[in-house]
Amino acid sequence: MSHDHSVVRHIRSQESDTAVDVDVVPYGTSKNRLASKYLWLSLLVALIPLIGFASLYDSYFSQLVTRLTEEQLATRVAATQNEFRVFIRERKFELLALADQFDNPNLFVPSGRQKISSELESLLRLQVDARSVYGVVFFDEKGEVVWTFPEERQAALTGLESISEFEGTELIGPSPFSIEQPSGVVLRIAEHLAPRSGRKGSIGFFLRFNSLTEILQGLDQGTAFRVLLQAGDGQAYDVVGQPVTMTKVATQRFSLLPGWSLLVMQDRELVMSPVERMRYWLIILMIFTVAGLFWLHMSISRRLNRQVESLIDSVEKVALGNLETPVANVQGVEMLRLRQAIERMRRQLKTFIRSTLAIERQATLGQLAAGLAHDIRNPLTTIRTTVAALARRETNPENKEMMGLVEEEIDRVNDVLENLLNFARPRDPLASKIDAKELLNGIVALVGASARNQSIELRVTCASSLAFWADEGHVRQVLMNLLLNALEAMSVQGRLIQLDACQKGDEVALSVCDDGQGMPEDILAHIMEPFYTTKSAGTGLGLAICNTLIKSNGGRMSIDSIKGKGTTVTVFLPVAKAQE
Amino acid sequence: MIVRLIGIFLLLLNTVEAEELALGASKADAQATVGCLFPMGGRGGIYGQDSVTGIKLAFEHLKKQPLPYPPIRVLVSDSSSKASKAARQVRNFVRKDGVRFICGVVNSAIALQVAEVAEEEKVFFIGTDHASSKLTRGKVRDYYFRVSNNAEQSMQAAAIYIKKKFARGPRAQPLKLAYIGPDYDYGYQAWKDLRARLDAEGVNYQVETVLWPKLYEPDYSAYLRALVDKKVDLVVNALWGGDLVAFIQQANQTTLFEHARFANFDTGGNYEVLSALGEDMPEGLILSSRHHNNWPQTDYNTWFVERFHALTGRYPSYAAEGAYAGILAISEALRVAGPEASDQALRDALSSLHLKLPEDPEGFISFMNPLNHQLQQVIAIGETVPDQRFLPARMMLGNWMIYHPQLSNQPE
Repeated sequence: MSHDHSVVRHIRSQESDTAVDVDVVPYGTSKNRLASKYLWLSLLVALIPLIGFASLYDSYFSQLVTRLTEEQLATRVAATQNEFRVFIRERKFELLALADQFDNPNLFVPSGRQKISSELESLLRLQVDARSVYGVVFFDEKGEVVWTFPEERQAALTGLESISEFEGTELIGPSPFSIEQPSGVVLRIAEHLAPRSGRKGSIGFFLRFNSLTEILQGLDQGTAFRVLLQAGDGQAYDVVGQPVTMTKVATQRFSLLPGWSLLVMQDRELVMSPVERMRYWLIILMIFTVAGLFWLHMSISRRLNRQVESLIDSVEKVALGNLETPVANVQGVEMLRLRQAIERMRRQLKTFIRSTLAIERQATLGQLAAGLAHDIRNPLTTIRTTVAALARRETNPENKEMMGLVEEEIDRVNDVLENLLNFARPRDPLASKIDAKELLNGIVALVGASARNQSIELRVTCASSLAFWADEGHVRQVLMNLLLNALEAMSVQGRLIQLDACQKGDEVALSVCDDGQGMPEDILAHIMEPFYTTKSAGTGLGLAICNTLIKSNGGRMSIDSIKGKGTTVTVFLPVAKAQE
Repeated sequence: MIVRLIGIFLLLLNTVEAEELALGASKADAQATVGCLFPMGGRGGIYGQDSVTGIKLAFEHLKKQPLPYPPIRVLVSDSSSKASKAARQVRNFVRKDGVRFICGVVNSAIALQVAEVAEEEKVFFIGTDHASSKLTRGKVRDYYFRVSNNAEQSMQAAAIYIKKKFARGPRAQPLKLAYIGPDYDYGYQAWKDLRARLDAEGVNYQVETVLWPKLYEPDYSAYLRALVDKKVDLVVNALWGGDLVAFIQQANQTTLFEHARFANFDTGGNYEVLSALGEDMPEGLILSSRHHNNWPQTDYNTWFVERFHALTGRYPSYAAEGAYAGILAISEALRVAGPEASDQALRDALSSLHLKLPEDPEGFISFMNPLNHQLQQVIAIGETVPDQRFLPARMMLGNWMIYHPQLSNQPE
């Protein structure tokens, strides 16, 4: 059995112990209950991802609808193919018209630029005003560039390699992509280079390559699919003329010209990526949902377990007899109610056991005292009378002294028996109104001499009109006992005993406070128990009798002590009211 | 048949060309005639209209000067942004009107062809608004002078700006750069100049993509998609006028401006763009222009902007100051060399030209570089900030970085 001797500075009476009120926690509304909270949170954690899931699914469905509308793609591709070819044909007709004006064979030589008339030059200027035409290129009969208009465009014609034929024209290029200048392609009339044409050269346009890629712009959605132009050089270009690395598989390829194609890319980044991203987010959401629920369950479970374990520990301590340790605090309405019930049970059990023990102890002592009175006191009286008679006749002083010692010891045994009887069956109190100041002064007068011998000051503090209701003999006996205890306790240290009387509510508090050596907590816990003493010659009944006497007067007693600092014993008795 | 159609077309063109606008002195009083070519209608029409007002302001300015400037007559013709038409107009100016100076031309591709014709006809071509550096590079052209900054100068300032604002350590990831410019000579030259200057400045950069939309492209969605896909740090844009307005309007519908800085170092800060976009102009774009209405805050620039506003009810685009500078340059050359001076004397006068212009900050006078016939001016690069002083523009440029022709970097 383990005993917790924690500080018990204030020993309450049995009545006050049982009267302890435990704070009652309200049952609470349903949402404050732990189970309700758990349900709401679970619902919340489940609902948020569900809403997200539904929204994303809806968006995914919308994308699906968009993809279904791609059926229109074929129609639009056909239109784009036609627009591309029409663009080339229009340039071809412009070239043919221009070639009619430049029919002089002498123009198709390197010095041809200097030989054109101002009217022909105006025609050339008019031609290059068009945004899609960078310049006009003149070829000799071998197909080599002899001069260009404007002149600076000649440099841009280097690097043109691939040649695609289309309806009597040749599309050469595009020029290699560079960050310096935009790419261009040359469109020239192939027929005029044939020997049978009778011409000495041919004319071509140096076309803006972006004018060709821009034709695809109407088809390029940028969201569902991407459209690229695969030019004669085999390279794919986007609608703004940037080369695109062909890492992805084109799902559809449509021919524009020989060697030139339209690529409709089912771009993973553009088509699948949004869908996959959505799926990815759905998976993440699901994982978070599961993880969230799991965490929630684990957390609540751990918390409940912790609290239940704590309560079980407390109950086990009570079961093992430790009634001093309060039940640990817990949270949650239900758990708090359970904790309060256990705490109430502990306190009631403690009170019950204490009172039962006290009753049993007192009953046992009563029987013992009665037995002693009967079996010891009468023979002792006979012995003492006999010894006294013998002593009177005894002439030998040594024997006479020894007989005197026997008488004293018999008196001491009688005193012990008297104390026992007082404790077991105290005299019923005869209550009267007692003036506190008068009482205290009287007691100080009795003990004053002993105190002075120990160089201890006795000081009384009391209001003049303070009175209480009790048996004066009992109170006097108690206060004397307390004062003598204090004087004993101050044999080692201490110089002052303070006797105070004051009113506290309906009670008068009489306290005896010394600055002696005090008591440790483990002694303090048992000091009121009968036969518990720290003195070698003590009976351990002094304070027990005091307590019994005060209780029989409707009062209570408390002891506070700090080792090395002193002890204060306070007696509370009912105040005497004015009419009494 | 085709020849007949071309003939009818040319006849129609001549009819349209006949509707010229004459400014300045009368034919009888004029000691020299200047033929100006500007687009007067369509997407670039505002350039021509502002240029005409700029010419009027130049005459106002000249009248107030104590020095005797010979009276000149200015004929303004609509080039319609067509090289063929512009080349023909130059010949008409020379042969019918006896002009000795050609002025204007917004489009660099047209300017290249006009310069060729001017060279053939031996008339001086005073370039105002076109910016391709090709005309002032290589062998110096005897009859070509430009009186506004070219793309090379803008890109030189741009490279210093990028180096300062987008500094990358040698071990850091290079600056991811994308370029989008118009698909003609100006776009090519601006890009070439920028790279050359970035290399010269030692900027650690990497070209992610280069895009070439055609001039007057209506739909930039494919280009914007390509730019957004590239995830670059800086998009350098060389579009101008209505093209830039359309690009920014369409880019506002994308995430481009959220993940990349946007810069247009040559023409983006043009008031025409700022006013056309109004509330659609985002904050924090890096822009510059050849003339700014709110910089420098000198009396001269304030007079120019406010006088323009008084005449037209709106604020000027940079074309106004370009034409203004062109007329001042011609007048100054004629004053110095004399109205009857030889081509060489006029060339010498133009080569040593010093002109105080509205865009010049205090203490600086624009001057002609005799080695390439390119006027040297201060360049100011800024960021768009809210500014309601020049409505309908809601954003003007601020947070200026100033670059002198010597390329000393002077944060204002």
